[in-house]
Amino acid sequence: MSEEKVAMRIQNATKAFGKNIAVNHVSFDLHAGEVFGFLGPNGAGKSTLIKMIMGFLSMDEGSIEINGFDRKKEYERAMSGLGGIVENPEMYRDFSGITNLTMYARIHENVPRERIDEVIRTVGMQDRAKDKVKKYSLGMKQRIGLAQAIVHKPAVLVLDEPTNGLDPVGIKDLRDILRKLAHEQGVAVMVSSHILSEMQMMCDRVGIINKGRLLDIKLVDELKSLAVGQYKFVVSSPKTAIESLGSAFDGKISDVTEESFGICAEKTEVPGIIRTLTASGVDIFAVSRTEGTLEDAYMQITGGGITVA
Amino acid sequence: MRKIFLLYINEMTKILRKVSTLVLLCVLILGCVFIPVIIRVSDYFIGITGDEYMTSAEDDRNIVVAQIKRIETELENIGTDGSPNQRRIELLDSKAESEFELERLNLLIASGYTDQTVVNFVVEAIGTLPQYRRTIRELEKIPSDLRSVEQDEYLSFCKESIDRIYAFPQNHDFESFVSMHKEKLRYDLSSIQGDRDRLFEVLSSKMDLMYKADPSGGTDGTVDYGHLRESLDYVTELKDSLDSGYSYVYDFSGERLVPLSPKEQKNLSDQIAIEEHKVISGVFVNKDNSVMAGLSNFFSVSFGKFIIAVMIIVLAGSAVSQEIATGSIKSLIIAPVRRWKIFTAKILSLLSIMVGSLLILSFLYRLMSLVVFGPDSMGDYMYINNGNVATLPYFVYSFLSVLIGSVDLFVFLLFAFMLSTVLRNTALSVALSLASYLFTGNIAQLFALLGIRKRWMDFVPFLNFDLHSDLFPFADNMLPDMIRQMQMATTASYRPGLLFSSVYLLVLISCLLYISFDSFTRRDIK
Repeated sequence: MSEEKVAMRIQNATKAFGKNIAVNHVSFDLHAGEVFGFLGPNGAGKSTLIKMIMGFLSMDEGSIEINGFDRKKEYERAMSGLGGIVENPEMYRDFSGITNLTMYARIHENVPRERIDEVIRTVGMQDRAKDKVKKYSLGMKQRIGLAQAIVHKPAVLVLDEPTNGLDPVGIKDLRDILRKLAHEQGVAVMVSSHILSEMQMMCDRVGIINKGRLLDIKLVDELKSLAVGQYKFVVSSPKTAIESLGSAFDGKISDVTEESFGICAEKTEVPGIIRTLTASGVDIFAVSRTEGTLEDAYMQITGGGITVA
Repeated sequence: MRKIFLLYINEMTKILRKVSTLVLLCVLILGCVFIPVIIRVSDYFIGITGDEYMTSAEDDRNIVVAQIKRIETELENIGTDGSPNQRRIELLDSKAESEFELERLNLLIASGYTDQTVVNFVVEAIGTLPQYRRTIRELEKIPSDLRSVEQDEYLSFCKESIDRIYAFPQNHDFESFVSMHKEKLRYDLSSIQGDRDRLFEVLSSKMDLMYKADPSGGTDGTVDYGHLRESLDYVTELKDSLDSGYSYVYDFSGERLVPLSPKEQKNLSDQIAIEEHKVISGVFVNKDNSVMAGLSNFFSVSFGKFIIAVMIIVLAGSAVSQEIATGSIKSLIIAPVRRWKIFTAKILSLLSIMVGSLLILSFLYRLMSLVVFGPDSMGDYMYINNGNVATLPYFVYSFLSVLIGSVDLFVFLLFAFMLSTVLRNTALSVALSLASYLFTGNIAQLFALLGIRKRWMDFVPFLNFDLHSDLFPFADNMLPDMIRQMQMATTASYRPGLLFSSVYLLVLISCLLYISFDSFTRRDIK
């Protein structure tokens, strides 16, 4: 599978609820064989975008192309290449997992019986597949939901917060399944999650959305290296030190204690800080750097902190 | 098309696996099975149609004999103490009456009709014996030289009639009874005012028809004489109404005569043709079992339709809203099908459930009535085709009739579905639809009772639901008298007409469909 093959293309997707523009001209490509993480604080518009992709919400503007088919012109062909879960996986509660799968597969046509058994094994639900869905835990529902999302072998798999309700083992299983689907079967997987460490381990690329706008798309490795470090200064008088730095580092200073403070800064800025502090008569006992994480990058790109738009 | 079919299978699976559907279907089946059984059993214990309370002629005779003795004793007392003359005349009159009655009973017993439940022309003729005796007694009070020629003629007719009555138990001459009856009719009518010839025509044609239907007059046991008479009484009633050009209307202001419209006149003459055909061909509905079968069918169908209405309203009222509430709609929206196909599949599945349960109802109630009341308890549907009487087999009729009688159900199905789609609130949709279904069921009758007949009523939706009366105008002719009268009291008299109602319903159904369709296919699911 070529990394460059476009499985889903979203162009200028826009959706407004009244005056509030939830998704504002978002465009990106999803490649076959990648796991794409979709990041953003609550209310950033990621749910709205996913619901637009899945056909729950109409689009005010823009187009979606799945597997080469324009959703507007060839709705059914485009949608048959798409699988996914929106928010919590909900099914017919009075039916068993296997009945739910059979009913869903029926609409897709050409899904053989064996395929249903196969996906049930894939998600590890073979022991409980015949139980009614209302007896399932949230984790089991997630597994059956995933089975439903992949039963028709979609080219694009969209999962909204898929690790919700899963225990650590479940999360690891899910990660393995998704990476296997993407890397071995060439499925384009798109996940949204608020657990950044999960994204870091699961995704190949990450897109960051805030206030309805797609801010940046980066490879996970690229993002990590780009991450701004947190430096910890142990000094004689943190108060004087912060005053001497002036307004240049407003909002980037944190964890101020009696003898230390933390500061977000580029590597190249550090010698300048040391000179300023020395000049102001502040004694520096130690300077240490904590490793940059995806979280730091995320904070930086979205403007420092989870803001509710 | 294939996708719609696959969605349809899923929808049917969902509906048929719902506990509420299954429970209501069971209730429907149990109702259809037990209503006829309950009616049959209560007839056995209480006797809805039975005549167990008829006393024997011998018992009656003992009573009459005792009565005569009492009168004689009193007369003797009057003779000794010289009481007023008036009382004596009264006593002599009632003694004469009692003696006539005694003569009737004696003749009945002598002819072997001790059991008074037997009905045929001989019994009927013997029943008229006291009348003739009374007339003779009255006429003979007039001195013979003062009697008019007509009175003399009538007197000899009465005497001759009594001889004939005495001969009937032996000769079973029904033809003679018919001519005697007609002759008496002529004498009786001479005393009344109005169109005598017309009345004579109507009443005497009834006797002719009776002879035509059963020349034995009920004596050979092939035809139930009493029921034959009842049927013919109905024909006579119809003929009288047609001839007079008026019909009775009942409402708040009481009973009124309303002139018949040309359409009603046509309907009346068709009904007469059907009733006469039934009498001549020997298809009677007025058998004892027919009354029970008619009652049972009436209750089974009303009960069944109510259960189906509840079921359909619950299903349609939750069809979309419940899926949204539980989130199961997600797997439908994600599926690679356009929303209008989902919509179509949902409507089709609800429609199939409705038609399916109506089929069960129409088949089951008829089957049960066959099993419980016997095959001859209900006749086929008869109608007029090119001036001739044609028949529609009962099973076909019962299905078509139940289906056409359920047009209102279909409208309420769409109404509940529309509410469910637009409001997305199951409880509200079901409650509103059920409430309006229950309320509107009586609105037509309310208007009829208040005697309101105005043009604007054409546009009241509920008055346009009754296509059944327009399409099966002769449905009432299938019913025994007792049920017919029961139904007459509950039938709405105002109907906007078949063409208007059909167009109106089409527009109404289209509107409901369009609103739900638009809401279902275009609105966001958040």
